[in-house]
Amino acid sequence: MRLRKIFLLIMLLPFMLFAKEATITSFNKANQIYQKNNYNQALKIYLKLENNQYKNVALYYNIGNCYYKLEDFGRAVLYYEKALHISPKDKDILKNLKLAKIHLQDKEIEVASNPFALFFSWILNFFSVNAYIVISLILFACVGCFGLSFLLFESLRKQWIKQIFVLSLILFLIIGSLASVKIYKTEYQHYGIVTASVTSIMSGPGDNFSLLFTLHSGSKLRIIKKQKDWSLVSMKNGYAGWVKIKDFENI
Amino acid sequence: MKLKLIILFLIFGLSVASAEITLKASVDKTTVGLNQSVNYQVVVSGDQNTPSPTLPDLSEFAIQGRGHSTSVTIVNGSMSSSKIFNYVLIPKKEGEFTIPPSVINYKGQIYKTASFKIKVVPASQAPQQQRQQRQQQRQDPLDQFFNQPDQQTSFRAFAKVAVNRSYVYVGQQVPIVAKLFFSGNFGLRSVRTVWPTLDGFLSENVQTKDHRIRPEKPQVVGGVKYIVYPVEKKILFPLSSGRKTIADTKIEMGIASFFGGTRKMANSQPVTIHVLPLPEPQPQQFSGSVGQFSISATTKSTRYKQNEGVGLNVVVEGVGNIKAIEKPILPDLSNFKIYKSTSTSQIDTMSGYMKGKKTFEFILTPLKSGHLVIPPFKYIYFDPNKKRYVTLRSKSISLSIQAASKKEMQNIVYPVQDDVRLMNQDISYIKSQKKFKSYKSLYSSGVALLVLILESFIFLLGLGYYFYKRRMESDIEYARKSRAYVRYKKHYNKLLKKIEKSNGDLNHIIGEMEPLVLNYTADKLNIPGSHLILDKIISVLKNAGIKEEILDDLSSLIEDIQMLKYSSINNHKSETINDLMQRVNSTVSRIESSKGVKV
Repeated sequence: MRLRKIFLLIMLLPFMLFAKEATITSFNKANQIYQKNNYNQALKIYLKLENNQYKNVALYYNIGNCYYKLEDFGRAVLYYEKALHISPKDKDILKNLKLAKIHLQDKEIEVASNPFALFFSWILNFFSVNAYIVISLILFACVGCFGLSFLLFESLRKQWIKQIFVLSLILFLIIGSLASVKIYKTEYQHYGIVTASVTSIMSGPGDNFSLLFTLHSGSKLRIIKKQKDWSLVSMKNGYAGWVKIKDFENI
Repeated sequence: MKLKLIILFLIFGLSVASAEITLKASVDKTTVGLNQSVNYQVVVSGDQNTPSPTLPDLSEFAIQGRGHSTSVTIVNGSMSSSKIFNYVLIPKKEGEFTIPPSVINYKGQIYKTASFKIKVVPASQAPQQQRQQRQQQRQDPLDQFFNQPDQQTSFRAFAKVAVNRSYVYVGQQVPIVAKLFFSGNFGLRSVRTVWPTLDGFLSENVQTKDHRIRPEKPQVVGGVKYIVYPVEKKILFPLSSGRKTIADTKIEMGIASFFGGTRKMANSQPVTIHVLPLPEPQPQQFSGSVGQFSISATTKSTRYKQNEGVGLNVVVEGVGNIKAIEKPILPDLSNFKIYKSTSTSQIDTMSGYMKGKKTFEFILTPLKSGHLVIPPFKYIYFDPNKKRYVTLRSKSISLSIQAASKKEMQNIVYPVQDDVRLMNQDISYIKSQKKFKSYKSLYSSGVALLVLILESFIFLLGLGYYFYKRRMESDIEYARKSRAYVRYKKHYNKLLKKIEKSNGDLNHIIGEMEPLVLNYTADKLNIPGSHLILDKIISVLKNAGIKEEILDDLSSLIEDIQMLKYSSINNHKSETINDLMQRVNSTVSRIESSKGVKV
């Protein structure tokens, strides 16, 4: 199965390179159109690229900008969140997301959190998942290299090697656990943004259940599970209920 | 007077309701002491929009407290609502009084409540009741005063739109605040104001610094301590004169409870604002601004060259609708050519009021040299505090203009702005890229796992080598046994090379063949060097469980070697030697692969 994939990949490589060339040209073209304030047209091209499975910070960010300019703030929030998922420290994205959120209808009282939780989320968002993974792997390599060189080579059996080994071991344990949490949060916790202008959160997966509350576009949801056309979601403040799948989009 | 107030208080925008309504009234007691109170409650229930009743004449009583609450219930999408009006009545004198029925005229039909007879007794005659009342404190009228406690989450809440003045002029700013009075065991998680349509007003949202709502000082209303949240602020500018009503404003609350949370509405009472027209006659050049303003005109310097642009800033500053400030009335500027004029406004609504300044920037080029004067700019506004129109005049500015040559005149220098001001807030511009890379998660693509496994494998290998090395160093027997074959192979290969290079002289090679085999077996069986005798070796090998045939081969091999060694023939045929070497190798390999000698 894998082999076949690799074979296909090799076969398609020249075409892919060509496609990449075409992608960057159409991306640049969309940027030019955006510059002329023709946001609708630019958005169309960006979305076409996104449909081709391109996951790219700049692409998501630019789509967010288009939606912002077209005053679809819910979708703007969605795409800024998508971009933030890849690059959590990007100042432009954070700034635009903050501006887009001002226009949303649902204003939330922030859930009070203690300094420790704030610090934890700050450190968790310090790097992207990939960066955390790379750092952990490098630290793991350091642990192995310094540990083994201390054990195997007489000439390297020195205090400073031992100190580096201990230091990298501690760092690896910390960063490694952070990376695991981050992986869990990004790969196994799914979030969505309400894109319908208003949606009802019901007590069960169907219109015949009772209405719990309503949400407006741009509200962030955590997706717990899916069942046919409905999805069980929860919010930061603990509210939970079922919402129609077509009313929101995954980040 | 009081009745009027009550009625005024209760007039709501009546809207169309499709279903029937019911009207009920009740009192908590019919006999009351002079120093006690009666709770009179009127409940109107119906579907969505229930009207408010007209209250009877209650002039026999002093009304100590009044409250109004609305509860909206949504079951399977259909909505029903009820309005509850609570009055705490204190009798003024002894005797028997009647509370006449409350009335609603709804769709042409008249609904009436029952009337109640209240007997007021002297204060001393009612101690029993007082005790009873104390016992029934859970049903104390004050408890139900403002809102029925909700069945799931116990809380009371109501909304209030606070307006700090009710008589204003057209165009005068009216700051309003939608406040939520909340009291409950559970926390409030979210609030949202649903404003009515604010017809007849220009409304301006007030943005707080960080979108957080900070509670004000708690207030006690009707015996209940409420936390007061100023949920949303707005600034209104009436557009025309007359009586304006801000219909009931709703505040949607998200309330936390054990079971996740619920959403509830708190309603406010309508607020009336009387808008007065601006006094006539209005001055001809009246700007339309209402508030308190000041004007100033400045240039950066008073000395200019004729080819320099004069940057003139005219600032109208004050409290009022800053956005609507118009360009001040221009004086006679015939000595100048107006090159450019722009305006920027800075608005501050943080305090709840709209204040700020609008700066009009003119760039003038002097048409002649010498002493020139920029006369005062004029601005006329209406001051609602002084109740009159005020004309502002900026100071005139004297400039001395130095003549410039013809060549210099072709090249007009415009002033450069000195300080940078943020005029607008907008999103950051789009990003561009040279290379278009699609993001791939190292985790889900398996790269991370692969590298981790590879790294772990290498480290385990290294660790294994470390333990092997340690054993070799500490366990001599183990080291000897496990190295036996390697050492033999080394010697054997050396010997082969020697045979190749020997050019026929093979005597010393034969001498080395016997120790080659014996050393190997000694190493393999950990036999001390002094015991290197064939019989001894054979017996040890036998004990180790080596097959008889291998042992026979071994002894015959050694015998053959010895025979060759001690024979008188000097020139051995290389074939014989090679044959012997092969026999050595096969015997040793057979011993090596036997089970008995495995390490």
